[in-house]
Amino acid sequence: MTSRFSSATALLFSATALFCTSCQKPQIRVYTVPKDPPREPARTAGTEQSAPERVKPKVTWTLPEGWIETPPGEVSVAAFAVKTDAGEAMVNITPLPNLQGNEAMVANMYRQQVGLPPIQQSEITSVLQPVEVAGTEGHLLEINGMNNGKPVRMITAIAHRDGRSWFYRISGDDALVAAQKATFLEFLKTVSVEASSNTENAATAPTAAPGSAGTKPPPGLNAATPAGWTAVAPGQMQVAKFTVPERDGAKAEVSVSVFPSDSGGTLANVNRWRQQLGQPAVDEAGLAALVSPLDPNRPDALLVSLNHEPRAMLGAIVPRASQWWFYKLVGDAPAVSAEREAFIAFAKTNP
Amino acid sequence: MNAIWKFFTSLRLTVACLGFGIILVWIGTVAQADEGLYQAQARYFKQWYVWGVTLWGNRIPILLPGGYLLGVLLIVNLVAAHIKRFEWAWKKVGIHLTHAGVVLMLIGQLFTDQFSQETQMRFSEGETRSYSASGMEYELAFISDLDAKNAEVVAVPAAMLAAGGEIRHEKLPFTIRVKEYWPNSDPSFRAPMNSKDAPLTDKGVAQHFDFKSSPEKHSMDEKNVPTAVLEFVSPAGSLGTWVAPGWAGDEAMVVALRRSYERQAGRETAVKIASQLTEPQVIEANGRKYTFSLRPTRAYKPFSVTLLKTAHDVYPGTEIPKNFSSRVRLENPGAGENREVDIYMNNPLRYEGLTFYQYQMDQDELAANRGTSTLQVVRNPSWLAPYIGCIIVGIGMTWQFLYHLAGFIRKRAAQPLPA
Repeated sequence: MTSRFSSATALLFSATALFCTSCQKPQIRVYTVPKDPPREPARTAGTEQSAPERVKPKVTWTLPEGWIETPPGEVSVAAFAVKTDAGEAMVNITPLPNLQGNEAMVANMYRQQVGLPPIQQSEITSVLQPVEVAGTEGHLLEINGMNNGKPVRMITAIAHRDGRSWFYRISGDDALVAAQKATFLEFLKTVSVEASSNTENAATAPTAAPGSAGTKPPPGLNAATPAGWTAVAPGQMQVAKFTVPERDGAKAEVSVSVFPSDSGGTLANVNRWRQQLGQPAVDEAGLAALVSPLDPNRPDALLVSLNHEPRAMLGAIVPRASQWWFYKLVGDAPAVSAEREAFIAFAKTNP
Repeated sequence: MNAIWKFFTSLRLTVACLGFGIILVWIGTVAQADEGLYQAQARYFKQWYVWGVTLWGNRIPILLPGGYLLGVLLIVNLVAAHIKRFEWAWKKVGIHLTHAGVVLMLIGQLFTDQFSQETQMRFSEGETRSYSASGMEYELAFISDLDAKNAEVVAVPAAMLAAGGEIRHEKLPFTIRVKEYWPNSDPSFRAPMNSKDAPLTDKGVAQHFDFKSSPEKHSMDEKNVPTAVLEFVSPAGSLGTWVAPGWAGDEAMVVALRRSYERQAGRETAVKIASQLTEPQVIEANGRKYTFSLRPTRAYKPFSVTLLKTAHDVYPGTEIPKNFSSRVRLENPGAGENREVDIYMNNPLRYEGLTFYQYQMDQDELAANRGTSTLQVVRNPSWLAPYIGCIIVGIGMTWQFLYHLAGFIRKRAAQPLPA
């Protein structure tokens, strides 16, 4: 009996030990492998040649003490980080297509980001202050509010030159940005945009309207947001979004996106929109029936009309200064129909 | 002592274990609706004890024995009872065999739980893989060149990142300081003009993407993709704070993300955005460059598999799948093997202790609709145990039945025939 008991005890301990030891702790592994082949650059089907790279304007500046230059993003030409005991902030210099006359839209976009209500275009002059930027006169927009439960501040200098709108922005923790304001204003005076880069920009703006690629902005860029449209927080990859007035319960909304390419061409975009509306794809022949010129003076700007009762969509594709602007009015058919003219005017003139 | 011996050899223990086993299986099955398959497996069956169960959305605070405890107790009970009551006799051979088969199945299942490994091999037609990757576990891999052809990999399991703190290894000339680790995360592209917050860091992928923590998911068709915010510190000073997103190192998630952006912005823009996500992140220390990424844990093989062709058959006139198959080339220079194999449903490839099952099939629309295939790669050293166990149990029961049948026939034959 004792012998049998000992065997059973040994068995119990062995089984327990087996599990305790086999529950492996995570450990770092080191091994040698053949190198992975270089990753093939992803290509869009049917696009064998990549689009020519956008030439960024050349900008110089005097770096303030305590600022650290960081790699600029896809759109910015310069970026800096500022970090002190008071917090952190980022500084960006970003040239965009001409937004003159749409300062309220820009201001409202920033205001939404810090939880502030929108303002009207007529009120914009009261919140903009004159400022010297890169040897020209610009406007300073200062906004403070809350983001993720902490106070933040955003100071943006906007200067229009050579058919573009330049945004110089410092944003981050409220106390730090407030303390850095004087440094930021001095920094703006030291910025210099090289004249040669303007020529390059004009040359790389193949779709700009005739007469617009010089020193004057294109005509008709002062239109305000249509009456009744309410700016709401834009979604990912959108620069602006609005809701339009309801019509007997029918709702619709307008979104504006800007991309560095035509996003696959008109047919691909129209079919994507049709898919979103629950419609089948069309071919080039079918596309012709859906597309019309947005503006008789701009044959490259297109208006797309889609109808899939009870929903409808109006889309506008407008190439401007090496970027493509996509406007979309989508919603219940009565609301879309009612806003058609306002939408067309908005897409033609904003920016 | 005798009381302990009596306890481990008692039939009551067997009945209690089986009873708790039934309850545990029932609770674990019901709880899958709330907790998901993997969590239910981990919380109820791969545990020594279970504290608190979830039934129909209600948390009930009770204590139960876990699957490990019940399994070990059953084995000990069965073997101890045999030791106590063992008796060599022909009439007992069937019982001994039946019990031996049950023990083998129990032990085999425990070995499967501890040592089996399920990974996936995903590739497009024409691509070659010499590794498979985990569907759930991630590792932070540092890759540095050894020579023109080979690279050295130092792979830190994500579980170590989850523990936080600092991680050091003799092969890495820097310390990994874990600043944040999110078991599940969401990415968002920092769209032009719309980047309202400062980036997580000013380096690498964080310039183009934001990441934030997201609640862990438990259902079968959802996946947790971790992200870590790490600072690398060399003796010469900090090498900066970087973001290591599982989104960038997981090919399947890159494809999913690209498709999501494609729906919003079209293919060309989506491809550009995805390329910014997968741009290699490199740090340099002691004159050596280290490319790092948080990727699904890889298991390398001493052979390679090339996907030659995929086929997706449907029933005529319908879109109902009839068969998925992958033709692959298996190359193992060490064994002098180079052959083509068809893998399709119910016809897996068994090779080098691994089983390759046809798992998923798709189209790589960026490469002229080139077919892609995912193989489930399973290593289970004890996969034969249940088969052998069942055979032994079958033989034992047959023996027992025939032995009694023979005795019955003999007894019947010995009886005098009625006049």
